[in-house]
Amino acid sequence: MTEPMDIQLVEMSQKGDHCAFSQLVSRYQRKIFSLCLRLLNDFEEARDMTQETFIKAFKHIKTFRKEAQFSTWLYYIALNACRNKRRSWKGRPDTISVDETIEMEDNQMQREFEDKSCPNPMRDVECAELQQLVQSALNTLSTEHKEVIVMRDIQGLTYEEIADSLRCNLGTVKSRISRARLLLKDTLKEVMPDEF
Amino acid sequence: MNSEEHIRELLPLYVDEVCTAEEKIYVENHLSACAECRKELEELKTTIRLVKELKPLDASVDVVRQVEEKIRKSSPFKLWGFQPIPAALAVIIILLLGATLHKYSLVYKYCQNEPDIPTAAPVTSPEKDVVTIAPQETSLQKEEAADTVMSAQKVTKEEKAGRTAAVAKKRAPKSPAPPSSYLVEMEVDNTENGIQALRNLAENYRVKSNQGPENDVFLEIQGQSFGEFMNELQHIGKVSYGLPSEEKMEESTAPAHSSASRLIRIKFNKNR
Repeated sequence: MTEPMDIQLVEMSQKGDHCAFSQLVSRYQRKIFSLCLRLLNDFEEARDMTQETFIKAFKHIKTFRKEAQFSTWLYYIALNACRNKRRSWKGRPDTISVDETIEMEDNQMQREFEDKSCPNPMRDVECAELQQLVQSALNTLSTEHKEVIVMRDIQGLTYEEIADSLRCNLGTVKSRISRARLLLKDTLKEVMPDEF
Repeated sequence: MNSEEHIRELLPLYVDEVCTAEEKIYVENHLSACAECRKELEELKTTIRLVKELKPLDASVDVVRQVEEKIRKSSPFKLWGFQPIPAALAVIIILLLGATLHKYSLVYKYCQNEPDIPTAAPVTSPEKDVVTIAPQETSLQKEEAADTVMSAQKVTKEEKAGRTAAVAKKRAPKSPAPPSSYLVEMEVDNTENGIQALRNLAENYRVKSNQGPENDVFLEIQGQSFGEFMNELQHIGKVSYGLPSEEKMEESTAPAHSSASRLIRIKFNKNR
């Protein structure tokens, strides 16, 4: 049995079908969480912003126009939520907390991420270090440059989808991606010259 | 922008093959001749690869249950964009509108049920600032006709401005209430005899009467005996049914009257 398309689930959600909306949440939560995590570098905040994104989406689902993609509409909401969150921090330093120790109910544990890029356990540490450096380089970019790099190179969105998510034209997206990649290249060359 | 800078800006897009056909040819021609830009292109590819390697880093987060709970817990009004202040204003406006419509529906209903008011146009009396509705017929052969002839309404100046006919009708009492006063002129051979005859008649009809200072008598007649009493007046003298009295009755001489009774001033004149 084929899964219903986004537009079908959206139409059902617009009629108040909570189950249909839950399917949409299930379908997009990882992508939205990943976007939020890369932009905020904070697991808890990223999870909160993911929830907020879906709550806002449900609240305004009736305003969603079907000519746009539901996914880019979600990205638009998530990007705004993350920008607002970052603005509220006011000078809080960027933290990389992708593998920090987190408090659980009765014990402490290392936050675990599914890391498919390092199938060999011997390379885990090396991979983690590499990722830390790349993430650090990413964090040096401005918000608008970071957004396009995350959407294009991590999330794999097309230029058109990025333009829809940012509500800007294709030329602006090209210009931002070009500039962001050049800046990121210069930073990475400095922090990890061996790779170049 | 020189050609080096232009090429440098195009290279990140060239990697993604999103340049135009012209730009692509331009870049490729340049790359074939420029080792530095070829190196730059390789560095860009490395950068993209390193960033893409972050891609599998994916947390096993599941917010479905939390989102469902929040949706369920939140008021449906809030979730569907309920705004308390605009909603409160909307409710107030609806209530005001409803009250206004109700008010005018009552006016309409009242006007539908109300007996006909004399159809003459309102005439303004500038001296006394009153609007008098003058009757069209003067025949008093029938009680109904007499009521019509004698009826009058006084409306204050403040009320007349901008008043619609419907509002004027609304202000009128529902049952045809008697006007405050009528003037009847009676010609008799002997004024004193006439007054005495009138008072006797009033006594027979149990009508309150007070004699005024100027050969006049004030009567207060109950509605149901009004027509008959007025017919009896013709046996005393020649009755002239004029327009309703424009003279204000003095409190001292006019008997106190209830809203269901008619107050009449009968003025006696000698036959010429």
